[in-house]
Amino acid sequence: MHVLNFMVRSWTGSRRAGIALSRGESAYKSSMERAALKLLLLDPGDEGTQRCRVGPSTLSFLGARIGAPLRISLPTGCCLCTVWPRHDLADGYLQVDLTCSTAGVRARDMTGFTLSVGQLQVLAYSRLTKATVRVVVKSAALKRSTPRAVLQETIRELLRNIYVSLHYVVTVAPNLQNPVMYIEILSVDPLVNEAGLITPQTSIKIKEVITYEWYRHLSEDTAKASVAGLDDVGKSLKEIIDLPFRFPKTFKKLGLSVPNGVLLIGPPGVGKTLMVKAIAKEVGAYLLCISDLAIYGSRPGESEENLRRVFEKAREMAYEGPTILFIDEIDSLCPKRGRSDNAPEDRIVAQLLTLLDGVGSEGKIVVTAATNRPDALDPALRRPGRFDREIVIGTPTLTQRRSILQLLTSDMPISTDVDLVKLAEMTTGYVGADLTALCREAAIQADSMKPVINMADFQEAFKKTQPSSFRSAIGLTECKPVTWEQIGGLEDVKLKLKQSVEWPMKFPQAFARMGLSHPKGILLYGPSGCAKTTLVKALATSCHCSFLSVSGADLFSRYVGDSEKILSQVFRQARANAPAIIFLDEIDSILGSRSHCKTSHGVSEQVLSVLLNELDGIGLKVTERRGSKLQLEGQCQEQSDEERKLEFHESLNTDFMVVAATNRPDMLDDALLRPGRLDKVIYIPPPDLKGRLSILKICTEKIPLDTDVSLQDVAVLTNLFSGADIENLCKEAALLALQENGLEVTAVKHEHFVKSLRTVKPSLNMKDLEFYEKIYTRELAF
Amino acid sequence: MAPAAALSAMAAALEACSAAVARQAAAWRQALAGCSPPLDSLAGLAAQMRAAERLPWGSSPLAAFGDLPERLWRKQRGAAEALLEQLGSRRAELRAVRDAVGAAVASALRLYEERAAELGLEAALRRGPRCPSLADALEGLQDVERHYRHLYLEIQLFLLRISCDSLADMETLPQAWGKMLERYKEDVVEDTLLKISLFVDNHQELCSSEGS
Repeated sequence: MHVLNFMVRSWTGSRRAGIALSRGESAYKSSMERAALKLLLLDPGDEGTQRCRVGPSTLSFLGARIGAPLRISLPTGCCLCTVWPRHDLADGYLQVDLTCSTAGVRARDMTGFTLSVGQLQVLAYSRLTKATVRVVVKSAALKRSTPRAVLQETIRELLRNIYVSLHYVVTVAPNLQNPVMYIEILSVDPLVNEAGLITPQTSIKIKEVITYEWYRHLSEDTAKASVAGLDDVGKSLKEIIDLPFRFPKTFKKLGLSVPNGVLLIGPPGVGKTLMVKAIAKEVGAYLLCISDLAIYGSRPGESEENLRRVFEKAREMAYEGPTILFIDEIDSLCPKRGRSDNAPEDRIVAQLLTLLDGVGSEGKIVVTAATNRPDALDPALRRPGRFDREIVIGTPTLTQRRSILQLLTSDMPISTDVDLVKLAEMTTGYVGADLTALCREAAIQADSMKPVINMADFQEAFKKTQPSSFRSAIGLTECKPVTWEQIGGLEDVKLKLKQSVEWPMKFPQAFARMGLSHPKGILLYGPSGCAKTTLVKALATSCHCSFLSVSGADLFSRYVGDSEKILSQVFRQARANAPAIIFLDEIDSILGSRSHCKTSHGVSEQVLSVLLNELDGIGLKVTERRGSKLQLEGQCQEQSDEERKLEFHESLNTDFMVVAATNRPDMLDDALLRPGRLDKVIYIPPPDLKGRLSILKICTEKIPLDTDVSLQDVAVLTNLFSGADIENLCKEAALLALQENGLEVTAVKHEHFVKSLRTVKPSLNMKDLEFYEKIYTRELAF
Repeated sequence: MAPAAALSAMAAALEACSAAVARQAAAWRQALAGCSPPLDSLAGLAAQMRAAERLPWGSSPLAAFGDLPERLWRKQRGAAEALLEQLGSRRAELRAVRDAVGAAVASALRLYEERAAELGLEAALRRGPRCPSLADALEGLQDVERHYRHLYLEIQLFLLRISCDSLADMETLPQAWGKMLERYKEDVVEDTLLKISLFVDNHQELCSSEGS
């Protein structure tokens, strides 16, 4: 076959080369330098031979003898070949065998490229006397089963007659069946810049043997994953992961077992997984992730087997170097045991527990797990020896949010008007994932023509994104904005409300300076129809904070204990999204009073006790913490003024406020009304003459009035009318006008008001008012 | 006429080399053939050992000889080791072939390296109607050397992996052996020898065609 081939081939190729040589030397040279060589796939026969095939004119240009070492600069690196002519002696093509190349050069990246001849460089070579190598074997099992002497001999044979350079990697052809995959040249002697030929006389020293898996891990790009705002958490996590890897002997000397488990707790999206990945990269550890999907199998016992296999693999990797075993969403893999219907899951939990215990004796493995539902975990998991340390990552604080935003926008073209501090202030309750979404949305908002993203884009994006914790929120309401001006009268009540709600949120420094803390809760009471709800709406509008409205419908459920759970969830959400206002309308119907209610096992009573606890409880749950413990304990000496200001804002804004409204203040439990709970009690009286007049003005704003209408007179006539009554009166009058004067009527006359006054009766009466007044005076007397 | 002289020198060197390779190839084939019987015996032995393991000694009339299984096993192990030793000596032969081929090829290549400048590129690439180019011949020699080197390496690893602990693997030894040899066709050697003999016989053609 071969013989036939070259007999048929003509040798015009070499003739052409000869003609080319005789032309003007310099012009020829420069044109050759630029001449493009098309990269072709390698012939199968040349695999693993370290040959590169070029045409004769390239050969003669290079002035190389056949088989001379050649360095080829490829787009992704360099490779070292011996130069051979193509069988068909065609020019303009290049075929390269990548047996010896720099790390990261792969054959599949190379198809379709063209190189210029200038990228080929003929090297001189010297015979090496010594070489040190690192060997990459296929698997850990092979690594253990192959004796060192055999490996040495194998390496010798594989490297013989191969040209190498410092830090180049020799790839063993896959058709060879042997344990070695790659051989990395760590040092050569004599140290030459050119190629070194490994001869039978070269002494080869194996410096280390690693598995392919570990090699791949090492050669992965080491770009640092960026995490911001979690510095202190990161530090403690890094410490616990780093310690056993760095100082295993110290621990042994001290007779201590190495801490080897970390449980990360935090709401979704705060960056638990990212954190572990970043730390693993920083420490240079191998990260082995377990997802429950990969674990669960259909056959009985399969899941346990899979789990054991993963731990076995981790143990294998630990022979190579530090290994982190990361169990994401551990709550699904390790739920509480003991429920009757999930025996298979119990077995998995038991298996996991024993495996975790086994890890302790090995060292070099650190198990980390992340969850957002620590309460769902089996309690046996949460003890030292299994998970030695639990790290709570809370919703980011203002400063943390600022640094996250800084990181996120560092690669974005943002204009100078973007105020990150302001953005951070706006984005209360946003976690890292939400902030990422915000930035992405802003980038989408930005016009494609515009080179930069400005503040307006961020504001637009802010409207569209909401914190993820709010997606499943209970009682989150969006109400039509109401301004203070839309409520007539009640000037002193408005002032009081502003004082106790708006001021602490807007001017926290002033409150802090005066040593004031803002009220926890406010009770609005007064006869019905006197704008209690509207006042709260106006409050929510003016404060720009999260507004959660809870009514009995949200709260009561047919399951025992459910109502209490829902209420406490509302409070948890409010804390997560602070500053927030929780509005409990008709609080008397939600809560009973322990003194009034004779039957003492009512649901409302339970709800009341939850409310009391939430308002004035002993503290927060650990998982709801914001920032870190250190920050809570306060170490703000070395902070700049601006930072301290931010801290003020933050610490005062971490809280929420409860606003309750009722028209039956006597029905409320006394415990609810003491300071520290609903400590500000505001009486909303029925409108007086002046108030009624302003209500009338507001109500008749849209009703065309005749000139004879005197609102002053109407106001005098509407004694004991509540705001709602007055609104109703205006409607009645307008309707009456329509009824009497036909549909073409343009104005409401005074007589219409007078007439409708006959039908519309005030909803308040003196007795009620006296009752409220009595309570009010009692409040004053306190 | 320097290239012609160099070409003749190369032809002489190649002739010597190919003669050596042809000799070694015969030795190689012989050594390889010598490997098959011990491997077959090893497989048979493994089958025996497995059968002995499965046998319910207690219920057979041989139960009276209490240490029989152990002695039998020791005997079988001894036989296996003898076979392995035999294979080891075959391996030494193969190794000698590999080394001889390596040395012959290296000397031919070194000679080319020394006279490359004298020869010139054109002479090395030129082919005649009945004659391969010098480059083809050298490439073939390199391939032959690599062929023996790699095959020897694989045979060595193959023989090392044989152990009496995995009898099932041992039983399939002849098949595995055949499969391994199948991947290394002898064609490379024959092709190259043919190429070189053509080159040696007809290289004068190249010189004369240059003159024309």
